[in-house]
Amino acid sequence: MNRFEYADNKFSEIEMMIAIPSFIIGVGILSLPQALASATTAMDGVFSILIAGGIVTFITWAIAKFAASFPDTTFISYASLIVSKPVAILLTFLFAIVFFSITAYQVRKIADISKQYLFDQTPVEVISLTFFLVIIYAVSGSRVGIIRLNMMFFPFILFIAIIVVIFNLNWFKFSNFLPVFQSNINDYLTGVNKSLFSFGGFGILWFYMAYVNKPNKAPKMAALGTGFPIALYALIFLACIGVYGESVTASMLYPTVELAKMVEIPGGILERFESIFFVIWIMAIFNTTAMAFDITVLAINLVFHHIPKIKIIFLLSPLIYAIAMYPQNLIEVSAFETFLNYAVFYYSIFVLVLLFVVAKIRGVKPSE
Amino acid sequence: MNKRIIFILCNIIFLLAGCWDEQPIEEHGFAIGSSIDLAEEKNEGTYNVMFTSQFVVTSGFGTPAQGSGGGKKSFMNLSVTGESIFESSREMSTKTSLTPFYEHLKVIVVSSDIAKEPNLFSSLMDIFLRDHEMRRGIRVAVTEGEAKSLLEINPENEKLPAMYINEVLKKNAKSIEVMDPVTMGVLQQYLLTKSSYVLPMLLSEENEINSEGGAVFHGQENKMIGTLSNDEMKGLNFIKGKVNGGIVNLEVDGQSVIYEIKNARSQIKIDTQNPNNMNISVSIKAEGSIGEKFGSQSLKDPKYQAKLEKNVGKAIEQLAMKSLEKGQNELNADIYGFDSILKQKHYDVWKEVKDKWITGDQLFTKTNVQISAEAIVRSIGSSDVTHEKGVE
Repeated sequence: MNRFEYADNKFSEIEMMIAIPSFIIGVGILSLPQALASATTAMDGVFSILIAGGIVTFITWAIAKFAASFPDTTFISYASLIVSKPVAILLTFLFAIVFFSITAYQVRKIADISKQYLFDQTPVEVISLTFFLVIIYAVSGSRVGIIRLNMMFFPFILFIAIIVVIFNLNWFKFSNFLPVFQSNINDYLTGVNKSLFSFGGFGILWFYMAYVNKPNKAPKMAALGTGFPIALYALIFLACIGVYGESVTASMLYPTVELAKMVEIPGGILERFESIFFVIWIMAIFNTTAMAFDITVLAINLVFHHIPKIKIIFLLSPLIYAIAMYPQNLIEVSAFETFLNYAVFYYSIFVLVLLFVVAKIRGVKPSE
Repeated sequence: MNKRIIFILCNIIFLLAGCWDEQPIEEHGFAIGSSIDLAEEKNEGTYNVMFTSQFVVTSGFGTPAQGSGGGKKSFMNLSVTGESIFESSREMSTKTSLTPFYEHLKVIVVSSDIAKEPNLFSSLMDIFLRDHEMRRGIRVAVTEGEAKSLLEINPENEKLPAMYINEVLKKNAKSIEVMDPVTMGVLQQYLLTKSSYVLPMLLSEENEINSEGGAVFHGQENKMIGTLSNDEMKGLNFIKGKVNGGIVNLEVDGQSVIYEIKNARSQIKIDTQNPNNMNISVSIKAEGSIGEKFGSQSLKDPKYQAKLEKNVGKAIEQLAMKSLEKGQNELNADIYGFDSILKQKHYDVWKEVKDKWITGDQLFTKTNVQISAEAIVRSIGSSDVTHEKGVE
C-alpha cells in the first residue's frame, strides 16, 4: 500500500494557529461549566475563564517565542544545548509520558461519554478500541496530515458549538446571570484553577514548533489560536448558566451535552440534535487524541531515533489501551484527570522556566 | 497481496459483526406521555406507585391513502406498579413486543396523591433527570384524582391523548389563569434551590382536559401543600409579570367590561433596609384592549376611558392581593420568586436571611408587600358602541 506523501513536511503559521485550539477543545469543555458553576456564584465563572485565558495566552506566546528562537531545531537538540544531553533526554522522556497519559485519558473519556449518551449496551472496552484504532491509523500516517485534518475539522466544531448556543437562546433566562461579582477571591481562584487546566494546550508547541516554516510569525499566531477556545468556553458557560441557572449546572455531569439535548429545531424535524453534536464533537476529541499520541511518538522518536515510527506506535498502543481501561469508575477516571491536568500544566511551565533561566545564565544563544 | 486482503477481510468480520446497540426502529415503543399514580403506601416512607406510559402505535395512523387507519387505536397505555419507576419501565418491556424508548417523551402527569406525600414527588422525578434518554424539555403537570385517566381520554381532534395534553399545556401560555408550562429542567432548578413553585393543574372531563388553577409545592417541605384557583393564578402571574394574554373581568358603572391583556410586566423592588421587616413593592403595568363591553357608554369619551383604565388597574391589584394573601398567609410559600430576586439583587442580605426566609423567623410572611397596577387601553376594537341607550 502506498502512502500519500505531502509535498512539504512543514506547517504554515495558520495551521499552527488552528492546531492549538484543536488540541485544547476536547472533553474538557463538556464538564467545565459544572466545575465553574459549583465554584463561583451565577455568571462569575466567566471572569475566571477570561483570567485563565489571559494567563494561558501569555504562556503559549512565551513557549512559542522561546521555541521559535531555535528555528528548525527539535526540542531535544536545543534542550541539550542548554541543559546538557542527559537532562534533555529526561525532559523529553517525561513529555512522552505526559502525552502518553493524555492519550489514554482521552480514549477512556470519549468511551465513557459515548456510552452514557449513545451506546447504552456496547461495552466501554469496545467503544474505546474502535476509536483508538482510528487514532492509531491517523498517527501512523504523516504528521502534517494530522495537522491538516485539524484545519478541516475546526470550522465544523466552531459551527456546531455556535449553533448549540443560538438554538438555546430561546430558553435563556437573563435573571440567572445575577448576582454579578458576588464570589470572593477564593472562589475566583478555584475557578481560574479549574479553567486553566482545560486550556492546557501549549505543551504541543515544544514539539511542533520545529516544523513551522515561518517560526518568527508563529508565536503571535499561537497566541491568537488560544483566543478561539477562550471565547468559545466563555460562550458555552454563559449559555449553561443562562439556560439552567447556577444550581442545576453545578449538578450536571456534562452540562454542554445537556445543552445540545435542549436544542429543538422548530417544526419537530430534528428532536435529537445531540446526536449531530456528538458526531462533530468526537471529531474534536479525535484531533486532541491524535495530536497527543503523535507527540508521544515524536518525543520517543527524538530519544531513540533509530527505531522506526511504526514500531513505536505498535509498542505503545497496547500499553495506552491497557492504561485507559484501568480505572474502574467515574471517580477513578476523574482522579486520573486531575492528576494529569496538574502534570501537563505545571510540567510545561517548569520546562519553560528551567530552559529560559539556564539559557540566560549560561548565555546559550541560538546558532544563527 | 491476496493473503493480505484475506487477512484484512477476516479481521473485518470481527469488527463489523456485532452491534450491541442495534435497535430496529419498528421495535421501538415510542413513549410520548407518562403518568404516575399512588398505588398504596406500604410502610412509613415507602410507596408503591403505578407508572403508566403511552406508546404510539404507528399502524393506528394508517397511510394517507387509507384515510384514518381503519378505526384502530393509535396509542397503547401500559401500567406497571412498582417501587421505582426504572424498575417499572423495565418490567413494561416484558409486557409488550416493543422496547420502551423515552427520547420523545413529551409530558408527565402526576396525581396529587403523589404530590402530597413529602419528598415522594421529587424522588420520582429523579429518573427523568438522570436517565440519558430523558430530555429536559418534558412538561410536568399535576392532576386531581387519577392521572392515568388523563392518558385515556379520547380527544376530538387529536389521535394521541398525550399530544393533546402537551398542546393544551403549550397553548396555556396565552392565558393568565394558568402557569407557563413547567419543564423538567426548570423543575430541577426549583428542587435544587428549594424554592416553592407552582405546577399547572389539569382536570379531565370526558373527552377534554381543563386547566384548572395550579398546584402549589412547598420548597422546604418538598410536597404539594395546596392549590390556587384560577383567580389566584391570575394574580400570581401578574405579580411575576409573565402575562402574554388573557382577560380581566371588571365592572364600570355597573356594566361589565372585558379587558383583554396584550401583555403585562411587573417590577419588583425590595427594600432591605431592615432585613427583619422588608418592604416589597410590586408595580404592574398592563397593556391591552377592550374585548367586549356591555352597555352603551362611548369609549371615545376620555373621562370614561380614564375611569375604565383606573378600574382595570384596581381589578388587577385585587387579583394580585388575593393571590398574595393566600401564598403569604395561608400557604407560607414564596411562589412569587421574591427569594430569587433577593438572591439576585441583594446577595448580601440574602446570605443573612436565607435560613430565616421560610423556616425559622418566617421573614417571608412578615414582609409588607405593596401592589400597584396601571393599565392602558390601547385599542377599543373596530366598533365603538353597539347599541344606543334604550328607553328606560
